[in-house]
Amino acid sequence: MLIFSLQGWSYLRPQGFNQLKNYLDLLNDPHFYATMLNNVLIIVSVVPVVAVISLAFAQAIFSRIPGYKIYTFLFFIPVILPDVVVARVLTEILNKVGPLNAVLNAIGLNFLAKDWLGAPGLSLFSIIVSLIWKNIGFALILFLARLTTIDIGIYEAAEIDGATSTQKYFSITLPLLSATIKIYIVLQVIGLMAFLFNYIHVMTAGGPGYSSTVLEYFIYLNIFRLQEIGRGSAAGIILMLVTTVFIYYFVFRTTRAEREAGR
Amino acid sequence: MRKIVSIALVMLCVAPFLALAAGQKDNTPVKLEYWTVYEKDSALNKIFEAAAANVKASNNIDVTIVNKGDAGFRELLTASAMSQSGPDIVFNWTGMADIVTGGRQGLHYPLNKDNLFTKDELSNLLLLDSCTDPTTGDVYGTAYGNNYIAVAYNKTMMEQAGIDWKSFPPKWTYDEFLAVCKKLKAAGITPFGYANKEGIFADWWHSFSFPSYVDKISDVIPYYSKKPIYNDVFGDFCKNWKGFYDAGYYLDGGNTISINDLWGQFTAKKCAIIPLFPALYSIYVKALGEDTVGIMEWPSMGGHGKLAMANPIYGDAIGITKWTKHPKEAALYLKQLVFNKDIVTQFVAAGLFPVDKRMKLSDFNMPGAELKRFAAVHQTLPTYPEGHAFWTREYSSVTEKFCNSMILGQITPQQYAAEIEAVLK
Repeated sequence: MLIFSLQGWSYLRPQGFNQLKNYLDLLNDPHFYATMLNNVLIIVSVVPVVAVISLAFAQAIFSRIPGYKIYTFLFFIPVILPDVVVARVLTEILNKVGPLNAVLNAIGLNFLAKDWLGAPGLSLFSIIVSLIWKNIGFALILFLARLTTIDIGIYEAAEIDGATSTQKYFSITLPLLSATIKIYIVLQVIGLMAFLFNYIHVMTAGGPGYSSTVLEYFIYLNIFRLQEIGRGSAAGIILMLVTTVFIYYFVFRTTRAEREAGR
Repeated sequence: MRKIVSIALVMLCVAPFLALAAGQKDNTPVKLEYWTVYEKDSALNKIFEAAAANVKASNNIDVTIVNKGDAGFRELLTASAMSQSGPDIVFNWTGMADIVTGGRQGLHYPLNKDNLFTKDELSNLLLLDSCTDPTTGDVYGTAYGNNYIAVAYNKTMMEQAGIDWKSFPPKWTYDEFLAVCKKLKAAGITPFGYANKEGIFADWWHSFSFPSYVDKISDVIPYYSKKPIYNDVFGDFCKNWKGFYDAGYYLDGGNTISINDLWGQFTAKKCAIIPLFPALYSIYVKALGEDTVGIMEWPSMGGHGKLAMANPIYGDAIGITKWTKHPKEAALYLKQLVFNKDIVTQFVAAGLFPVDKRMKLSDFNMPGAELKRFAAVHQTLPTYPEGHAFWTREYSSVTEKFCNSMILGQITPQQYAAEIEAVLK
């Protein structure tokens, strides 16, 4: 892909190296920045919201609230379903003439019935909400797995010292979950940078215009639709670099900081 | 034990070469793969299989018809071109300029090279110019049947709206078409079914209607050159197109429906009018009955240019891939599709018109009175096959991406034109 990104292309035929022209073209393309921004918006929306909701549900299920087994199963269903199936179901629900708008109209909330996938301001929002729904199950299981391995004795000792439930959660549970949360963030960011194709392709095809196009889909559009192999490859290299830099910074730098802090 | 393993390994390495040599000696058929987009049980696919049976019997060529489905076909082909592997023969819908674009991209083997088709054979093909690269003269494929751009309408729904479909003119003007839509809408019937999630539908509308907006085909040439796209003609065309949407003549929510869901809208009676291609006619008739399905010209988009009264014939095309090891055998298969009268008879029965200039439509039986009537109109109107020549992949990609936004009023026609210009650079 690196070689492709450094070549000029005439349709599908390489025309020799053209230095960094594909990268410069890309940097002059406003749609490229729009797609990058969409990726950022998805990450900053999905990661914290899923984390907070999953942590809350994981704690509730860990506390064995009534029906906790059913909740665990229900939350995990979207995770085991293929992305294409989930995306197709959501497309049907969110369609302008789909059941969501039908329900809103039926209960008198007509003003809330929108073109969820067809309006530029809403298509990305709809995808974000869909991703949140899909990803909660995965994060939930991850956090739940860690919660079950925490030594109960720590909580018992805290109770003897008079700690409240809130104090126990923020002083024991969360710190012990921090490594798992970090893994969750890394996996989520990688997923939200490079594995969104199914959702975008099925739900909005990146549209209207480029309003819900993410970098991964931008690469697909350039290589397979516009047949701009050089530009698409350059975008692929940039995607790889951005993801790598993030992982390096987040994993190695924070780990080092923790070590230096003696944690 | 070690000896046995060594011998087995040597056998494994040598076996493929022995098999290859043996295969060359005996009468093993040449194997070809043909990718189409039509369903396995469709009428056209059955004709492709009949042609394959012919070349198997006469030339010992095995043609495997592979249905790749409409969605993602071009992407699969692009991947094949990059790896120089895949099918030997490929379908190319909206042949015309697109097959020339494909040829320039290195997808197609020129039919005029290596005597695959003789000069005489090529001269007998209708729409040849549209498959020919004007700069090199290379012919990158052929239409296998003349197609047409049309719309099907539901006669019963027309009657429900008080419209006398029997009085429809042979070819309607945009005003006549609008009047029909208005009456349908007033009767609570959605006039036009559309599915524009991917923008493909709007792209058709753009590419089929726009040439009919002008007087001569050279008028549309600027729209795929590097010249500024936006001018008054383009602006009016876009305005009418958006106006059609704003009037509520399209199926509500159609902009978020996939193209694969389009055909079901008509057969489920969710709309009264729908785009029609020959391969779909039998599907519509099967679902609704021959008496219910009428056929009319694809309407122009408000223009009253001379080409609005021309005949929008085009041809789904077929080409040989550049990487095939058997171009001559692939050419024999193509010749079956265009020159074999038995095969052409089957194409006509499916609603297509012959490509071989020597064959006349009147020599064949068209299926159904409605199609026969429509075909008769086609026979007398002038054609503008060149009109489709402005439909290129470069242009199409951007129209698919942005014409949806333009119709919905999310961008202006000027911005739409600017997006096209950016891609055409």
